[in-house]
Amino acid sequence: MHNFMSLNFFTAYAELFIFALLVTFLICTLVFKETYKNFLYNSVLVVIFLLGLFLIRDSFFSTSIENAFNGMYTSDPLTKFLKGVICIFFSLSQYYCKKFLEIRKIPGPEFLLISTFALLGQLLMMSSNSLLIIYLGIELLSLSLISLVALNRDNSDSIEAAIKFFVLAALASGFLLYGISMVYGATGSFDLNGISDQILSDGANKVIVIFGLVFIICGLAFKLGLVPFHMWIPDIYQGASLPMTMVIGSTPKLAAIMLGYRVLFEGFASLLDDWQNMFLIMAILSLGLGNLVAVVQTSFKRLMGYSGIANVGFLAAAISSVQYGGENETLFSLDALTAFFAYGVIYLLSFVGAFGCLLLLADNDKISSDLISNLKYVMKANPVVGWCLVLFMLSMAGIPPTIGFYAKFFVLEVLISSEQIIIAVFAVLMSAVGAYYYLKVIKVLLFDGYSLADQTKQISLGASNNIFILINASSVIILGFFPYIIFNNINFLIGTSFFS
Amino acid sequence: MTDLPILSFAIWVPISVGLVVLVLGLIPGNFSNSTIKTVGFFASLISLGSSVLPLLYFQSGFASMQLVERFFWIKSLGISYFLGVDGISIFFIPLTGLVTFIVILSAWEVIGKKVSLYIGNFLLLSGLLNGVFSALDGILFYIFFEATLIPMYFIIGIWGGPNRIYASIKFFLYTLLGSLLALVALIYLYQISGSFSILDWHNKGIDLTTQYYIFAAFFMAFAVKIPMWPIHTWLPDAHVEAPTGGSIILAAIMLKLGGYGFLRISLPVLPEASQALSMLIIVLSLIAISYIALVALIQEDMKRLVAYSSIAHMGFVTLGIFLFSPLGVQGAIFQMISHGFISGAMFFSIGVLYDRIHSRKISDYGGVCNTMPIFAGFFVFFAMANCGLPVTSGFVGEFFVILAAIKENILVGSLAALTLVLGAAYSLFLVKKVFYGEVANEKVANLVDVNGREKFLLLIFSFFILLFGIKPSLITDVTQASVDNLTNHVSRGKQP
Repeated sequence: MHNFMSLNFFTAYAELFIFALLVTFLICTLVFKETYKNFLYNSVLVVIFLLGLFLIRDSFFSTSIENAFNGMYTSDPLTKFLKGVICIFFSLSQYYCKKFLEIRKIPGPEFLLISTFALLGQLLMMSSNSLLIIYLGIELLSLSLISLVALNRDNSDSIEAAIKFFVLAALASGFLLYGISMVYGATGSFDLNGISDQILSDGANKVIVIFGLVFIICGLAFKLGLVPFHMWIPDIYQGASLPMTMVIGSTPKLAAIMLGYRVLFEGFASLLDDWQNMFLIMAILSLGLGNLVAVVQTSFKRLMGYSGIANVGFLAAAISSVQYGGENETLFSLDALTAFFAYGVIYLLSFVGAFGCLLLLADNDKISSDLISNLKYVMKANPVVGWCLVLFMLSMAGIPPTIGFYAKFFVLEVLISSEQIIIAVFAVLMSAVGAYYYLKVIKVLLFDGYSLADQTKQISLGASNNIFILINASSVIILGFFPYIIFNNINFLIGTSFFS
Repeated sequence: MTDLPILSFAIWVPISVGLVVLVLGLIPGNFSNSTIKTVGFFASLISLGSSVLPLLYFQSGFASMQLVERFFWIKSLGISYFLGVDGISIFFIPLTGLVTFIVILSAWEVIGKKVSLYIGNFLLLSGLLNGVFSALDGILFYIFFEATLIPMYFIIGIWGGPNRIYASIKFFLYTLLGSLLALVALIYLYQISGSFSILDWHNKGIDLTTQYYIFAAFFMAFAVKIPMWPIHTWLPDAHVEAPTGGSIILAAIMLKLGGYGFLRISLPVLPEASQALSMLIIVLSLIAISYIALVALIQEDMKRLVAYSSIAHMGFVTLGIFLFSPLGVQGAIFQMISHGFISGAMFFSIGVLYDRIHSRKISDYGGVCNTMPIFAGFFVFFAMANCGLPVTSGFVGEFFVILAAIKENILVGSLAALTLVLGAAYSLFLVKKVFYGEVANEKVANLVDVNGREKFLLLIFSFFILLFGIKPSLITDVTQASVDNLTNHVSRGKQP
C-alpha cells in the first residue's frame, strides 16, 4: 500500500524547507544584482532563525514520534528541539561570519550556500532511522564542509586543510560503510529498529554485528573528534579560515551527538555493555590528550580544537555512564542522557560566542591572525567584545557561575551516581589542567591587554552585532543562574521522545 | 525575627551595586574617575550597610540556623537556594562588608587606571564572599567559593606587581584544583544522602573509609585556601604581587574561607574522620606555627613577611579547630576575626609606605618614625597586636587556643606557645628596621605623614582591634551556643 502520500512528506518539513530555501537562494543569487546580495544573505538567515524558533516551539507541542519515508526517517520532540537549536546557532554564527567574509573578499553567498547544504546534512543525519540515511547525511555534511574549507582558494593553508580533511573524511566514511555492510550482512536490515529486533531475538551473528558496530563507532568518533580519531581536528581548525572553523566546529558536533544517540541507544542498545567500554576508553584518552596538548598551543584555533576534543571527552564520559533502569523504570537513566545532550548545547553556546568575538574583530589583521598572544589587542580594539570573550572562556573552563560549570557538573554527577568515581576524579583533574589554558587566554586578553601601550585602532561594531554578542554572552551568565531552563526542558523532551 | 531576606540582601546588594559600577566604566560616555569614585564610595557604603544588617537581626544564644531562606533552585537535582547563619558564620559577613569598604577607600588616590573595574570587582567579591559564609547548600557554597576566584584573579592580574601573571595563575589553579576535588566529594555526599543541604549530611553514618576519602577531598580545598603547610606556597606570591587592596581582602577574608569550610563541612559531616586524622592536622599546624614563623623572620620583603605571618596565624586556626574543645574552636573563630583586622591593618600600612616610596624592601627603609610619627605609632600598635600583646584582639584568640592545647597535650601547647616568641621576633625586627634608627635615605627623609583619609582607616582598624581585645565577650557570647553544639556533635562521633 505504498503510495506517494504515505511517505509522510510533512514530517520532514524542516529538511524540505531548508532544501526549498537553498534552491530559491541559488536562483536568486543568479538572477538578482550584486546590490541585493546583502539583503538576500540576511533574509536567508532570518528565515532559518525563524524555522529554528518554530522547531523549538513545535517540539513542545507535538509530543508524538512520527516516521516518514517508510520508516527511514523519524522525528521526535527532542530531535526537533535540537534541530531548532542548531538552526538558531547556525544563523547566529553565519551572521558573525559576514563581516569577516566581506573584509577578506571571500564570496559570501557561496559560503552561505555551502554551509546551508552542510546544515541540511546535519538535519538529515539527526533524523535518520536507517543506516543508509545516516551515511547520506554524513556524506552531505562532510563534502559540504570540505568544499567550504577549500572555498578560500588563494590560501595555501586552507587548500592543504581541505585535502587533509577530504582524505581523512573519506577514510572515516570508508570505515562507516564497512561497518554498515557488516551489520547489514548479519542482520539483513538497514533499519535501526529492525537491527535492534534482530539482535534481541538472537537472529544475528553477534560477533559480526559487534565487529560492524566497532567500525560504525569509529566513523562516529571521527565525526565527534574523539581520541584516537581526532587527528583531523587541530590541523583543519587551524588551516581553515576563521568562519569555516566556526561552521565545522559548532553545529555538526550537536548533530553528531544526536546521531550517536540514535545509533547507540536505538539500534544497538542491547549491546550497551560492549560499546560502553569503548566510549569509556575514548573518554579517558580524549580528556587526557585534549587537555594536556592544548596547554602548549600558540594558535587560538588549534587551542579550541584541542579543547573541543577534551569537551567531547566529557560527552563520551556521559555516554559511558548511562545505565539501564534509571528512575521511572525507564530503559536508560534519564539524567545521564540529559547531561549528554545539555553538554552539547552548552558547548555550542560558548563555542559560537568565542569564535563570534574574533570574527567581529576581523578588521584587525593581528587579532584574526590566530596567535593567542595577539589577542592582547582585543581589549583596546573593543572592550565589550573583550569582556564577552573572557566570559566565554570562563564558561568553557567550567568556572561557576557561568553555564559551563553546570554542564561539567551534570556529567560529574551522573559519573558518580554510576559509581565511576575514579573517572570523575580524573575528569576533574583534567579540567583543572583545562582551566590553565583558558586562564592563559584570559591573561592575554586582560592582563597583557590592559598594560598595552600602543594605540590599537578602536573597532566599533554595528548595533546589531553588539546586540547579538551581548545576548550571547549574557546568556552564559543568566543561564548560569537558571540552569534548570536547559536541563528541565531537555529532560522533559527526552522523556516524551524516548520513554513515553 | 524578620521575614525579610536579610542574607540575600547581604549577597545581592553588593553584587548589584558592583555591576552598576562596572557598567559605568564600559559605557562609552566616559565618566570621569572622580564621578566613578563617588558612585563607588556610596555603593560601598550601601554594601556595608547590607552586610551589617544580618548582625543586627541575629539573636545570640541559639545554636540553630537563623535568618534562614530556603527554596528549591534546581529541583531535579535537589539543589536549593538555602541560606542561613549561626554563631560560627555571623561575624564574617559584617567583617567582609567593613573590609571591602576600607579597601575601596584605601585605594582612593592610587588607582589611576580602570577605576570602575577596580571598585566593581571588590564589590562583586564582597557579595560572593557573603554568599560563601551564608550558603548552607553544598553546591551553592561551592559556586560562591569558586566564583570568588574570578574577581580576585582579575585584581591580582590587572593591578598587581611585575610578577603578577605568575602569581595570579598560581593562585587560581591551586584553589581550583583543591575545590574541584571537593566538588566530587559534594556530589558523592549527595548520592549518599539524596540532598545537597549541608545540614542533612550530619549524622549520616558514613563508614570510616569513605569518610577518609571525602575528608581528603575537602581537606585539599580548605587547606589550600587557609593555607596550611606544605600547600601554602601560592600565598606569599599572591600577596606580594597583589595590589594593597587585594592583599587586604585576601588576608582578611579569603583565607578565612578555608577555616570556615573546616568548621561548616569537614567537622560536622565527617566527625569520625576528623577525629582520626586530627593528629596529622595538628602536626601540620604546629609546623606552620613554628617553621613558617622562622621563615617569616628572614624575609626581606615586608609584604612577604606579613604573608608568612598570616600562614603562621592560620596555623593557630587549624590547631584550634582540630582540638575539638569548645575553647579551641572559640579561639579559632576569634583568631580568624581578629586576624582579619590585624593583617588587614598590616597590609594597609605597608600599602601606605609603598604608595610613598614604591618599594616593599625592608632595606629601603629606616627611621620612618622620624618623618611619619603618627603613622609609626599606629604601625607599632598593629605589630604588637600581630604578635599577640594582651589588650589587643590578637592576644585573645591565641591565648584561647594555647589554653585548649595545653589541656589536650602539654607538648602541643608548649610548641604552640612558641609563636608568642617568634611572632614577637619578626614583628619587632620589622618595626625596628623600618621605623627606628637613623633616617636611611633621601626618600625616607622626604616622607609625608598620613593624611586624613589614611588616619581614618587606621583608626577604624585600631578601634576594632582594641574593642575585641578589651571585650572579647562581644564575639564569644554570640558564638558560644553554636560552638558548643558543634563540639558536642563531633565528640558524640567519638563513641562507636
